Amino acid sequence: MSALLTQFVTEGRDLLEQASSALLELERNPGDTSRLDALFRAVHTIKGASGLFDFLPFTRTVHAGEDLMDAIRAGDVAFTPELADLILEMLDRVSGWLDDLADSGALGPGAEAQGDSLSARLRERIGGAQEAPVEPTNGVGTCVEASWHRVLYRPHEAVFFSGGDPLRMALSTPELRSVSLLMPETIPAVDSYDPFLVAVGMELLSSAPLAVLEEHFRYVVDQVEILAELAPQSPPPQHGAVNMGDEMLGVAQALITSQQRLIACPEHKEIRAPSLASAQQVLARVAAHLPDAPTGHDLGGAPLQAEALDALAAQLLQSLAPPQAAPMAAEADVSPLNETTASEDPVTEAPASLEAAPRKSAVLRVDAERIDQLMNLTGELIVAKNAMPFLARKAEEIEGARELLREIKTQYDMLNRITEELQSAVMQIRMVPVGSVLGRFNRLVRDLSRKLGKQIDLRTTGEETEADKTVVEELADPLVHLIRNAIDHGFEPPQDRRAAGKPEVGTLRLHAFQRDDSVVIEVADDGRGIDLVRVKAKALERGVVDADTLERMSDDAALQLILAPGLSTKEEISDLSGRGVGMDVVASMVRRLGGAVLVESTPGAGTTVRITLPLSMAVQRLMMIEVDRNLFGIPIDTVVESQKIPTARIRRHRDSEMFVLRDRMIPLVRLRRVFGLPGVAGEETVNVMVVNVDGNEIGLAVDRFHPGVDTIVKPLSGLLAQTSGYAGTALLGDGSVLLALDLPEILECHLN
Amino acid sequence: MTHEPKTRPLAMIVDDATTVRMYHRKLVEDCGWDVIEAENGMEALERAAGQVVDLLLVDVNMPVMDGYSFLRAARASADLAAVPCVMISTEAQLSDADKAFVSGGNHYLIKPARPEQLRPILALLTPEVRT
Repeated sequence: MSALLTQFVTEGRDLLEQASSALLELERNPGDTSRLDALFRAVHTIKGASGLFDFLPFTRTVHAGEDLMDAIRAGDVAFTPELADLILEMLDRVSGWLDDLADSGALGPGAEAQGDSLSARLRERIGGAQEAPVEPTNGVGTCVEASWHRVLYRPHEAVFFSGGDPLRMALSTPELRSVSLLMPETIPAVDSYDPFLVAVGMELLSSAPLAVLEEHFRYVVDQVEILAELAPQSPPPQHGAVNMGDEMLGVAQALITSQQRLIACPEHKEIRAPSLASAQQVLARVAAHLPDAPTGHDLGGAPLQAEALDALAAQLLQSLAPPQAAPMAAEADVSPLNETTASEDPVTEAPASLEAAPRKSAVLRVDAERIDQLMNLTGELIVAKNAMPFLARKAEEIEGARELLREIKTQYDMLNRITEELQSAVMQIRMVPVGSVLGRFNRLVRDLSRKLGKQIDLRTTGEETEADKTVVEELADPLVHLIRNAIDHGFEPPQDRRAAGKPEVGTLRLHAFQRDDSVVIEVADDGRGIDLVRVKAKALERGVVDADTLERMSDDAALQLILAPGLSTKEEISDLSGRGVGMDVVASMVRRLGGAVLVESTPGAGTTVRITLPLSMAVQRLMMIEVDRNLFGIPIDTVVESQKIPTARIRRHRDSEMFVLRDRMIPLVRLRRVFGLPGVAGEETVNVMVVNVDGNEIGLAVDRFHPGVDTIVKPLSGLLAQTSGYAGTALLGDGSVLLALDLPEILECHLN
Repeated sequence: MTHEPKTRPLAMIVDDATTVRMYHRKLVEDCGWDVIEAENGMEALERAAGQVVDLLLVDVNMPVMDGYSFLRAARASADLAAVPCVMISTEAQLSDADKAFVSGGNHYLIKPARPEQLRPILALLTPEVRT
């Protein structure tokens, strides 16, 4: 089996797995468009890759599946459990075929019939209107003889209503040599003539190979007839030039024509100059390979204006073919060219934010997987290293082993230092600047603010701040939510801003910086701020807190209530923030990554949301605590201090307990109670670990404190995945398993 | 930025499907080019930093950052502003070619790009060897 096919099978299986898990989640939550997108994308990618091979039933089936999902995405077809069954059946079929391919390099017997019936059933759901597009019938390796072809193209009468553009389709035919109209047999009378219907057809002469033409017309295959045509007896005039292959000549023409289309495409002003420069590059390179390129212009020199480039392109085309056969010479005359920015240097035109993006000198490109593997091994090494203190403790119990004990400790120190250095070296490799994520919001901000009629200036600082690649990637989603929220709810409309004496243009700041072992990203708007009264009222109404607790809460603490599920302004459903995508989603996303969210707001002056994430998610330092002879881990960055609090100083208020620490009232949560264990009677002092969770200081009553430990926390999987209250498990040096506590979740349940 | 003298032109292949990247890589390398790969637009922008890329072969439908967004960002970047770009996509709607040009693309092919389509393009778009 070829390496390519092996890769296809491997990737196909991965994608199938993604598709089925997306489908299952979609079934649970049919409105989840992100799952639908994931499902679509996985199937789309399988289809794309399958096109590399000649597995027609395979490609046809996944193509039908892709179209069906596209129809679901567009809302044309409703997602139902029966539909899910059908899609699952398709995924199973594809999975079976992948097994066939892995076993024998070919689809199993009966694939043709299976594919036909399955794709027919899939298409039936779309509404049956669309015929399965005809796939190219030759695999990659097939060579096609070059000869001329005559294409009779008769567009459907109503083609305009389905968004077709027959003229463009015809004119963009590869290697087009001539066009003539096919008039209908009877021309409709003037009074019954409908200008919105297509009455004529086109006869196109092309020198492109059959396969290329079939591909070009693959979506209107029922409207074209492709006939072989003998190439003209007399070869094209040679202009005294090097002999160029017909194929090459056609491609050169197509490339030049593409540049003309690009030049005639002025929609995106900000990328106009570099686009023209790239077109100039293409023309210069093509010209350098042409036997008889016009030499009057220096294509490699200064940037040319659109007009000049277009003229050059036309000249190049002329030099390729006899004048009367120059394809699309007419189109060259139509290009609207009123650009003024074209002469500017493309580099200085780049937006400041992107130019400011950090550029590292790339020395070595390594597959991310290899680094992940190195990272995992380093993690394992750190865990293995943790076994040494246990050894030392054992040695302590042996008499006369002091020498051994001392040696173990020395070795441990050394090993500790080396693993720490190794870990930080590996982490350095994985560090990427957050600028790669921050930089992509320019467009989001622009589009959203324009849509809402708000003027917003996005300022990004600290792009050079580095964090682990995974952390940076995971940052994107929460940031998108926060930015959408800020634009949608935070900023006032310009007239309100003017009335409030603020500049009409709002400022949205994205600021990244490193603090200790965390990367901090702030999203700050200078909008209306959060209405604390409303947040409090809603928190009461939704039962997030009781009146008593709310009474005792500081304003800062009450503001964090906006992160609670079901609280953020769901009533104001807009197509921007979307239904029910509130701050709680952001908070849970960030917490899942081991981070924290803090909201600050000043009425009338704006809101700042601060996301703090660990620099790396691979190795975590956990503080160990003991409850009823069991060890549990809590992230060290949440730990504030450990205290022995005399029982007498603990005050009761209804069901809850608290104590005063340096003039601050701190709620006490007894972990024994959380775990449903009986309390310890008659204690004089209570061991309390003070932790900071989302800005709130809370005391955890534990049996004993233990030292911190570096571990890899793995999320609970399988049946245990549903267990709440635990962030994951970690392996200790002595082989025992440490449960890492999910503090936000535990506290949410036991504080109120 | 210092440019190392090189004899082989460098193409960047941006596609989320590993199989497709592998296929294109083989084809492009066989034509005498060096290749770097990226899984999506975002990664492509990162990988292009500091490289002298001579040609972009870009898929349209990708997660994280699709081909059109990537291309617009590339045109606005320092490294890739004027690098010729061929969009390669399975999406064969009529309007796709237009979208490619609007986003600053230089050419458009339907996936999978066949050897007989890609080879002449690579030949014609080989830049003059830098010395």
